[in-house]
Amino acid sequence: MKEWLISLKTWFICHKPTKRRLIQVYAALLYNANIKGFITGNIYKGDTKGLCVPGLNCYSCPGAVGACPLGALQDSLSHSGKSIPYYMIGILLLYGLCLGRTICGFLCPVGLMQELLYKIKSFKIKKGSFTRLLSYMKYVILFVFVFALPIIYGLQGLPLPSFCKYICPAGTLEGAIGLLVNPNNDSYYEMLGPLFTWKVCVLIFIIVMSILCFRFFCRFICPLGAIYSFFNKISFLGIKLNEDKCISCGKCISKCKMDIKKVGDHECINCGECISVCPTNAITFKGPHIFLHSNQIEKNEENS
Amino acid sequence: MSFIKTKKFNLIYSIYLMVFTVIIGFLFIIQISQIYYNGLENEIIYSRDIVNQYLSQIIIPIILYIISIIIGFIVSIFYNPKKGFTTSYEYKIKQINSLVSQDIINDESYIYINKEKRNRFIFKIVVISINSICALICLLYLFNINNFLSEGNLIEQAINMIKFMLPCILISIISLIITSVYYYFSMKNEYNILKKILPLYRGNNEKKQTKNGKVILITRIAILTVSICFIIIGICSGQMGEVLSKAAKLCTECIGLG
Repeated sequence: MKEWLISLKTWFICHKPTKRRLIQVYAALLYNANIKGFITGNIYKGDTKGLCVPGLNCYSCPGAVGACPLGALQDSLSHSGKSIPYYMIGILLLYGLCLGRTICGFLCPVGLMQELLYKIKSFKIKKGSFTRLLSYMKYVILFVFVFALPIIYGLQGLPLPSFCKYICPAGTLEGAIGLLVNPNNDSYYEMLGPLFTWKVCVLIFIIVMSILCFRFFCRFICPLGAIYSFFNKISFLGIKLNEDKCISCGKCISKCKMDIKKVGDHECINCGECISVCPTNAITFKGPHIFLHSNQIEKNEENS
Repeated sequence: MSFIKTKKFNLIYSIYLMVFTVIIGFLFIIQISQIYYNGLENEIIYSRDIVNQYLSQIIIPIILYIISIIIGFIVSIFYNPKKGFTTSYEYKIKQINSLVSQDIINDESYIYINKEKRNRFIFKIVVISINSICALICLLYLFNINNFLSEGNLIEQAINMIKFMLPCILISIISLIITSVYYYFSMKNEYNILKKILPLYRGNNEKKQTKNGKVILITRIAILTVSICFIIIGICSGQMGEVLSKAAKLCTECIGLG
């Protein structure tokens, strides 16, 4: 009995939420701070919806207090025949430059959901050359569903948010199901048809795959992650590798569950899990000290 | 429980849960398809009662699944083997390649390695083609309305679907397993050969300074300036208002309601 209690205590100590997990939870709560919306079944209509949140969070979710960057971008692009979407391009450039894919690792509710699903102790699909190849699929989805289709249909006067409409699991889970479970929204059932059936099937597929494969949606599908990945090397916040200290032992690559080729590349979500396994402390967080303290290990080493 | 027993238990449990997860996913998709295809025959496709009725049919497997997760979770607290790191052969090969000089290209062993690489590439293309064809066949079946409008009951339709799709899924899984095994041995072989010939062709192991600080700084300043200018132009031209008007309305098309 005593051994069991010790095991339980050890488990709790080992599994206490990390700072990153807490930031993820806070970010998800902050994006969906309109709790009243979940009760009434109506979406928030305040002025803050003119601002985009950095992560993927559907603006049709009853709790959402900000706009979804992908949804707003597609909407702006579908009107690009009239004017260039300066506002959305500016916002995405700013987020990308300041945070890069740190947004995926720290500020995305869909990423949090997938990481929690991955905790279910099922058999896991490990990363390899095939998953790395598949990780380029998100760039194809970005080009086809976020840029090409909305622009082509937009020029013909038919605005089409194709990624949101056909793929986005956040829209189905937070928006559609979030609204449909509320008894006040029974009238929405009459609108459902083949599109909803397709989107629920996509959602179920992504949920199942997220249990079997780490961040399935982020790695292979998410166009927002694809946009931020272009900024990963130049972003103010992120992970940096001191190449003089690196002994190329490969422990960081083995520890990482994303399809990275080296620390801090376009697939890196800057979660910082590799920092603890680096034997030479070559990996640290980069960024101005106003936002982030550099790695404590590096500091200690410098002091010594 | 000993370490080996714990490891075995974890392996069996994880396989069991993987199969269960896939089954639950399939059950959900079958039920959703049933609601839709049966609804086409009637006038009402979806309603709260219909959804409740269909989802209640799979409530027992869902409860069992949740119980399985909880039991596994509790057991794992007390019996959890420590995990170690294993570096893949792919990464090891890359490390060795970064250490050798260009003269290696003329070595006979390296020519053999190139053949292996070519074979792996061909394997990859073949597997991708096989999987794409299998996926296409399955999708064509799923989207053929006639397969779901027959008078047969749910189980009959599910069995027909499994009968049709199972060979495709099996072919796909077998092809992936064969490729994985082939990749493992091929890369292991390549690694061993490279390790043997490494001392002969060791190049200068000087670390290249890839990051140019000045270029990054200039890029950052340029992007920051452009982004701020774009945001100001966007706000002044009323684009922020457009985003607000879009986000403040319920976009039924975006969330799949129709």
